[in-house]
Parts: sequence; C-alpha cells; structure tokens
Amino acid sequence: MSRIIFVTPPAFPPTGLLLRFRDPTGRYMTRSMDKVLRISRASAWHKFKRSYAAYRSSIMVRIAIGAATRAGVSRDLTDALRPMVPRSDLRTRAQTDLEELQGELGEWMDRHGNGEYRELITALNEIDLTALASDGEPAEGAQGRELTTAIDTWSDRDSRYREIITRVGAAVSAE
Amino acid sequence: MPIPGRFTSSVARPYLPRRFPLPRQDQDWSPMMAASKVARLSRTWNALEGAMALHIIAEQLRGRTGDAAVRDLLEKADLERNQQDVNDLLDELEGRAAEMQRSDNRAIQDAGRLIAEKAGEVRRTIGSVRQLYQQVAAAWRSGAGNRQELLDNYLAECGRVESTWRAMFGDLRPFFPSD
Repeated sequence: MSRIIFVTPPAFPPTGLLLRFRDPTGRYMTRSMDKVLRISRASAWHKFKRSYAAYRSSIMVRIAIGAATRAGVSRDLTDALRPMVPRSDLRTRAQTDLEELQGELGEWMDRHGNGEYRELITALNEIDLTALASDGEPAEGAQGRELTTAIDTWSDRDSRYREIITRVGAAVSAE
Repeated sequence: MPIPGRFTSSVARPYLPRRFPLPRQDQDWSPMMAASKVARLSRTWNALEGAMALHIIAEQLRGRTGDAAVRDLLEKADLERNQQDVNDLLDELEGRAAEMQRSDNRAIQDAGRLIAEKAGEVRRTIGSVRQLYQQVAAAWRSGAGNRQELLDNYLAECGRVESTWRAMFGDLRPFFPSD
C-alpha cells in the first residue's frame, strides 16, 4: 500500500471516515478508519508478542547456562554464550513494545468510549518483565529435581503471560 | 503524479494513535510497511537465536543433570516455530521490497532493491547459522578439535544477522514521516 488520501469529509464520525490508498501500480483501495486502526493495534501486538518471545528465550538460556555451569560444562562454551542471557536491550525493547500496545488499546478506549479493551489493559498491566527474570534465578543454581521445580515455577508466570498475549491477540487481530 | 484527494493526512492525525506512521499525501507508505516487517523479524530472530543457544547447551547437559527439566526448556524454546516464523516474515519482507521496487519514486525503488538484497543475505546467513548450530552442538558433545572455531564462526554469523537489521532500518529511515 502507498499514498493515503481522504475521500470523505472529516465531519463524518471518525470511525466512518474512509481512507484511500494507492499501491505502487496505481491501483486504489478504500479502507475505513476502523480497519486502519485495527491494523495499527494488530501491528503493535505482533511486535510485543515477538519481543516477549525473544526476552523469555534469553531468560531460558540463562537458566540453561546456570545448570551447565553447575554440571561442570566447559566455561569456554558457557562464557561464549553468556552474552545471549537476559540482555537489557531485549528487555527494554519488550517493555517499550508492551507500553506501546497498552497505549494503542488505551487511546482506542479514550477516543471511542469503548470498554472492550479495559479488561485486556488490566491483564497487560499484570505483565512484569522484571519478575519474569527473577522467577528464573532459583533455576540457575539448581540441579536435578530442584531444577525441575524451579523451571515449573518460572513456567507458571510465563504461561500466564503467554495466555494474556494470546487473548489480546484474538481481540485485536485484523481480518 | 498528482493525487485527486481533497484532504491531507493531517485531517486524520487527531483520530489516529500517536505512533501510527501516517505518510503525507505525497509520500509512499510501502517503506513503513517494510520497516514494520523488519521490526518483527529482528524480534523473532532474537527468539530463534536464544532457542538455538539453548539447544547447544542442552547437548552438554544430556546425562549430567535433570534431563526432564532440560527437555522441558527445549520444548518451551519453540525452535521450529521460531524458524518457521522467520521464514514467513522473510517472505513477507521480500514482498514489501518488491512493492517498493514498483514505486514511481526512484529513491524508494532503490531502497526496495537494497532491502531485497539484504533479505536474501539474511536468509542465506540464517541457513548457515542453522547448520553451524548443529555442528557446534555435535562438536562440543564429542569434544572435537575444531569446536572452538565452529563456535566462533557461529557467533560471528549471528552477529552478521543482527547488524543487517540495523542496516535495513537505516535504508528505510529516510522515508519515515518527520512528524
């Protein structure tokens, strides 16, 4: 899609406003403002879903490196892979994406008085990336059965957050 | 080519989220759509990168500690799913780059060509990383003499993928709306 113009006056209710796009071949397509906003919300969700996946992945690497260190695996290997463990840039990015998604839903609610997203924003507010990392810490020094228990504890929070992300995705997905 | 619209995009600005990338009437939207794909790709790549690292370490842990726990972590790492997502997103990015190359704006055409080239490069590098991670895991498990070299190559290839995202954003940046 490219180029955007308006084919209905702004006096129309905003959600009824039509936007016209022209693709690079010169073809026109018309989309409602509703549709464009839905795409914007879906886009914010896609980004957060993936940045969350990247961050949780780095926490799992840290847990595995902790277990490997305790198990006597060569430090040449664990030290080389350690830069992949909870990286502050991954966490910052996930936090920024989370706030962007909360902002998208919040702005929609403010503008249109639509309470549909209120519960989802509350659920998103529950996501605490610092706590996710903290939950993984006991697993880093654990072995055997203790390691399994520690990973289960970490998984509880992770599973809850993933479920929230899936629920938000279902609500904001663009057809 | 003149656009027969009566209203500029500034009319819509108050109704749209602050972050929504809205081009002016004379701007092409395709670079911003491409940038959105790059943003998703770089995040998915980091998830895949972590999943591969996890597999390398897991090979070392086999038989040494809580195998059930390690299996659990590996399942959660979603290696195949992340790999598939990266491939799908690369397809979509190439589609966007092709769209940019059809633009009547020469600068966008050129950027589209660059993005297409870089997407191809990323695809090849990720293919090489995938092969290397399996070799690294096997070499460290067996204590092969070239294990350190393989590991260094693997990490260097991961770094190349990472720097390509930054280059792509650099190619697309000039087309972002300034507001």
